[in-house]
Amino acid sequence: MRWINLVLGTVLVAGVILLGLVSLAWTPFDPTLVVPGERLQPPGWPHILGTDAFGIDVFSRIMAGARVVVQVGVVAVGLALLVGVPLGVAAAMSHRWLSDLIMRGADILYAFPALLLAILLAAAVGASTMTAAVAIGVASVPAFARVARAATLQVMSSDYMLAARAAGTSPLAAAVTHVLPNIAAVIWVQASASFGMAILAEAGLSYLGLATPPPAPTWGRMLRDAQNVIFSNPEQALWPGLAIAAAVLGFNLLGDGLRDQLDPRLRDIS
Amino acid sequence: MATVRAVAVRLAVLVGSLLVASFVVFAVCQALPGDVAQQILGEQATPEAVDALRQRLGLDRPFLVRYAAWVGGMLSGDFGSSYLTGVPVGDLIWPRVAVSAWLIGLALLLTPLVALPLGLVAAVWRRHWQGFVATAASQVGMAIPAFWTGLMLVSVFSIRLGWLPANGYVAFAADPAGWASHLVLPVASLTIVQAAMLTRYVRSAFVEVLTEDYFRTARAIGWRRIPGLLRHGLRNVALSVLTVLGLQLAATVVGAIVIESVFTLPGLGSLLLTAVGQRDLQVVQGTVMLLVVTVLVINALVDVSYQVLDPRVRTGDLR
Amino acid sequence: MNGLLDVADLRVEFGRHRAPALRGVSFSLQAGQRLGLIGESGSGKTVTALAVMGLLPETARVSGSVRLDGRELVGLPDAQFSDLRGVAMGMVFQEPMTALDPTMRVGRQVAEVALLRGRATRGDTRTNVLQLLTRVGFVDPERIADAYPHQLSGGQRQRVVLAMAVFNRPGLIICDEPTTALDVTVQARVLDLLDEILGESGAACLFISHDLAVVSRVCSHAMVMLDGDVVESGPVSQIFAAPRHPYTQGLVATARLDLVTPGERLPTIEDYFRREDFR
Repeated sequence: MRWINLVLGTVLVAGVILLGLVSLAWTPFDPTLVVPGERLQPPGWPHILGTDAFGIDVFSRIMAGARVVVQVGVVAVGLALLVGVPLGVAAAMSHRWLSDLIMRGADILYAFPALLLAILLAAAVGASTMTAAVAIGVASVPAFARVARAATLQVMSSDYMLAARAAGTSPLAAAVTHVLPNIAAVIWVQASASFGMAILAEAGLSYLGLATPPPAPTWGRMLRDAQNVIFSNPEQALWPGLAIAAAVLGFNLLGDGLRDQLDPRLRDIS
Repeated sequence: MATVRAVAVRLAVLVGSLLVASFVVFAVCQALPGDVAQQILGEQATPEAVDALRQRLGLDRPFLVRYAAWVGGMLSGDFGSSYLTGVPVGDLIWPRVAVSAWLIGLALLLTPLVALPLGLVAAVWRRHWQGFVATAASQVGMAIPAFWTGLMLVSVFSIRLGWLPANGYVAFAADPAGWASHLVLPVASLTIVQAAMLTRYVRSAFVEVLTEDYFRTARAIGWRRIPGLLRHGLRNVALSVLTVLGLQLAATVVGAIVIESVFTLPGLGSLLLTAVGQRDLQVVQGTVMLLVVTVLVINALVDVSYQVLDPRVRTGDLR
Repeated sequence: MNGLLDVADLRVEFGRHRAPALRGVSFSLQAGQRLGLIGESGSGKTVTALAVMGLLPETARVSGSVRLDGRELVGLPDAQFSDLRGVAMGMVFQEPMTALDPTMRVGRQVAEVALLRGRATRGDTRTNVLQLLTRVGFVDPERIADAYPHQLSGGQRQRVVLAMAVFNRPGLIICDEPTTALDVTVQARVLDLLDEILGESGAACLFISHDLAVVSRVCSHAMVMLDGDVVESGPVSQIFAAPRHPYTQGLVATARLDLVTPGERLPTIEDYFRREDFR
């Protein structure tokens, strides 16, 4: 039981990343090639998951979709991490008013989920992979700021931190040499969970047409296409949905597994 | 006295948050897109025509003046008019509020009703198969997007079984039964995902109560496990449920936008998506602001309600 | 072996990889008798108490026998065990600060003990609660009943917990270090109160403490535990006068500081007993 989260999570995450990487070099069929004569083929050979309403090979489209998911996830989580962690550390190490200001800002940002930000950006400058990734990233900043702040406060109250401050180490130096290494593990856990949420958000956005524009294949767009034929071919909605669920589940389980390794006492509680 | 002060502080924070949030919305919609008048008229328009339009729309005024005018207008219920169609934004929004409010409200109401028993099972039997099943169900529920749940429910209950309509909406006043049947699947799709998330927190809150000294005291005076947990745990669990529900509110609101698109419900979400498609910034700006105000106000109410639920906070002895 | 409580060869293990918490504990408690259970933390005192109350965590594996009034408690389904708790036996815990539900008024928590048994109406119960709070030494029971736990001091809370434990006049009361978390002056008051209430109700008591001096105030008999085993037991006077086990000798020496010549180093248990010698 102790390892099941970590192992299952790692396998699923590795699977998604692998699919995305391989799709850069090779897919069984062209994931954008419309073949009117091969519409809505059932799973079999050579189309192992069948074809969609355009005659595109479903498995190839899912592989190419994995690439977009990984792209958006990396940009979004990277952005949230680079902005959120310094803010959280600063909030924990600075004066009360600055700390309050940062955390109030995080509270306000909570009222702007990724989708609302993406809608604003899409309305203002047009939808693209980048607007989606930025929207998801900005929306994830508060989570990182909170986690980083809580973890930093814990480090700050430790004896070695007191010793470092007594010895006259500057706050910045202390943050880099003592705080960051000690909060890194918690941040990784948050990053894994945020990656899962980023995938969900990307799927929702591309389903609504607020992310990567066509013809680039995304899992969300596949579901939108599937919805158009849902009365005749409901099974079309199955594979892209399973791909999303497996990817998100993978990152969530990986995050849980990492946290279990980090603090076995928390396993029961959180 | 402490309570009054705490509520006043929370109110001040709310007003500040609303100002910041409205500024962000306004800035993104008005500063990022560039010259709106030029875009409306196209590249070939004469500079005079563009200037005239700019003047007519009030775009020649300084940015902050326009912002103040927009905020002032909203306070008196005037959300401005669409640059494209000239229709007042309020006229577009208000008829659609009911649809979204029903969807979000029912989902938020059902979410704890599903999550509490599931979380209780997951906590009490956490070393047995019942708990494992409940925990696994919550994990899977968190991983699937709400709109996919919607599609799956449609393919089973609308297409295969033919029990419920796959899309559309009927007003409650026109046909209560039709209204209900059109809302079942959208509300269910939204609830399943949110309840899965909440279950996780309910579980950990109950597990925490199980390890509390006061729960052991309750057991020592003769409470059986589950009645004792409900009697002494529920209030404590309610506090964390309330916090998480507050945080989930924003997710539920945006979830509703997607769900409205799946089931073609004529709510705020579909209005917003249409407006984005047409780059109708005044409509986007007004609708987004209404949603953000809702989230911020309800979160403030949640904070204030702690005062009622936790006597340690209420009597001002803590925090 | 037919006292009020008969414990025979009680063994408790938590998981396969950890040392057993109890390695075959046996003792007997007669009606009205007061037995002190002495030992350092981790010696198995609390595990013994929780095993008798049936409140060990699920992960514990219990074997042996615990009989209350001749009824076997090991393996008893929780529903039946719950009916005994608070009626046939009550318990007072170590940590008064966290032993009460922080979100519920004290009076209602005490009243639960009566309401759980399905008898007594609400009005009745209120009167009973106030009477009982007076019994445990509160001069203003109304105010205490309407207070939340965090508004009371540690000593006050411990008296409330004691009131809950004795409400239904159980034949057995288990006290797990009831005064350890309290100030010394408060400690004395709570011990006197306990002594008084036990004397009045005639209940038997299993009194757990790491402090021999405290045990000698309340109990007639004592039992010394070490690493999950009982190493010595007998009347308190006998244990004080002629401790046999080296660990007990150490305990007695540290409890009798009045015998130390001023200026001399205080005795420690290690002077008498080193664990390595017993492995």
